[in-house]
Amino acid sequence: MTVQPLKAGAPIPGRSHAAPVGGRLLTLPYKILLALAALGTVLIVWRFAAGLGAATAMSDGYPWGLWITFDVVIGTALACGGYAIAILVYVFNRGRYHPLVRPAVLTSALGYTIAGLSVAVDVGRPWHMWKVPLFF
Amino acid sequence: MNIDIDRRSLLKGLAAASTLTVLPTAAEARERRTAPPDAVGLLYDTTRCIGCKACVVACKEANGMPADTDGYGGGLYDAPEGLNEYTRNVIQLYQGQGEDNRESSFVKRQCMHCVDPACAGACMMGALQKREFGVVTWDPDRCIGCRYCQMACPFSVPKFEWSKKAPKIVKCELCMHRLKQGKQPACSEVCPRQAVIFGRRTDLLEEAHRRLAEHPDRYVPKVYGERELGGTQCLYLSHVPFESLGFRFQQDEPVPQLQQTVQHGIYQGLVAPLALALGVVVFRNRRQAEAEAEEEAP
Repeated sequence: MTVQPLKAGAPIPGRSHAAPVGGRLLTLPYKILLALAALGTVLIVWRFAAGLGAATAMSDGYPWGLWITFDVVIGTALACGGYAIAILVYVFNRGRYHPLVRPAVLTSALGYTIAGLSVAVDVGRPWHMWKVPLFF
Repeated sequence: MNIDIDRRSLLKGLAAASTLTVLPTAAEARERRTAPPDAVGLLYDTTRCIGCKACVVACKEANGMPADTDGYGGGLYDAPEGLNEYTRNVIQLYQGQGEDNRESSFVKRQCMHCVDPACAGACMMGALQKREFGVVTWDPDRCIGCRYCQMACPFSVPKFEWSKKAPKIVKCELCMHRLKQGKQPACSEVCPRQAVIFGRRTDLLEEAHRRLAEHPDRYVPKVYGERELGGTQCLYLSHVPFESLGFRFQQDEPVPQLQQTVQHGIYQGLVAPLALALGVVVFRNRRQAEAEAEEEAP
């Protein structure tokens, strides 16, 4: 297969233009998820008040539990889509996938943000997390 | 110009370039660590221990650890079942199958202070490190409480304060505060049978081999910790198989050996990832330049 080469600075073929989707924001699924998020917030407060063991049933035998899969493993896996799509479109010049870029980058931003914030709930001493770049 | 062929050759060059960057570093297998010259440790001898647990009490006193009344006696006794967030040192009993008492054994458990500790290898913050006397200590100002050390330790030593708002990692630090005062650890000081003795690692190894040579009938013929998992500063002599006492690993290779060879090989100085990123950029720009050249050609 031959690839259609691109001229520097030329618009990528098939480049899409973003437009608002429109419609209501507070739909039923959205409200259900909001309720779940509220419950989660309460549990996060409980975790910081009573310690990790009370909120998670983790122990010295199981020092990592369900949370690590959700905060780091799922969060970063979700977020890597941004890189994958960016490489596909901008490095390998598959312009026809350009409409995927915006949702992929949004998902990445949300994924890394969620991973970074929620791992702060999972680790025991998050007030030292700012030192990670110093000592890593 | 046929772009397809060129892309292939470029990708090949890219792969070759990154491989060349990675291979030399990865090929230099990580150097085996040796015990520091000031390494001290303990030598525990199962044939001498009578299970009095004086060391457990002394350890709690010396380190200001609270009583653990969760175990036996319905809340009456400080009787830890194992190492936990209240207990840095414990005596456990291995009960043999036979009627002969010689098949049973006590075992003292505390941090082994490995020559090449898995916990320190896993600790991304360097909170757990070998410090003075080769003792593995925990730095509260660095720890983020990720519990990677618990996952890594082949002896299940580091414990975590699960019910605290500001949890700490709890483990034996060989009474570092006492060592700095020129004293020996509390456990070895109080032992009425010298079942556990304190000293330089080299001296302890010599003593262990002296005992093995003197009573070859009495012991399993090895000093656990001389070579196991890269060597430990706490050494064991036993009359029952070491597996029975909970020492699950008998191999010489330290836990961090393979993992750090691979990871440091790939990520050392970020050279290989940067080379890869640069290669991707070069690949992309060259294709664009070719595209332009093709367009300008008649």
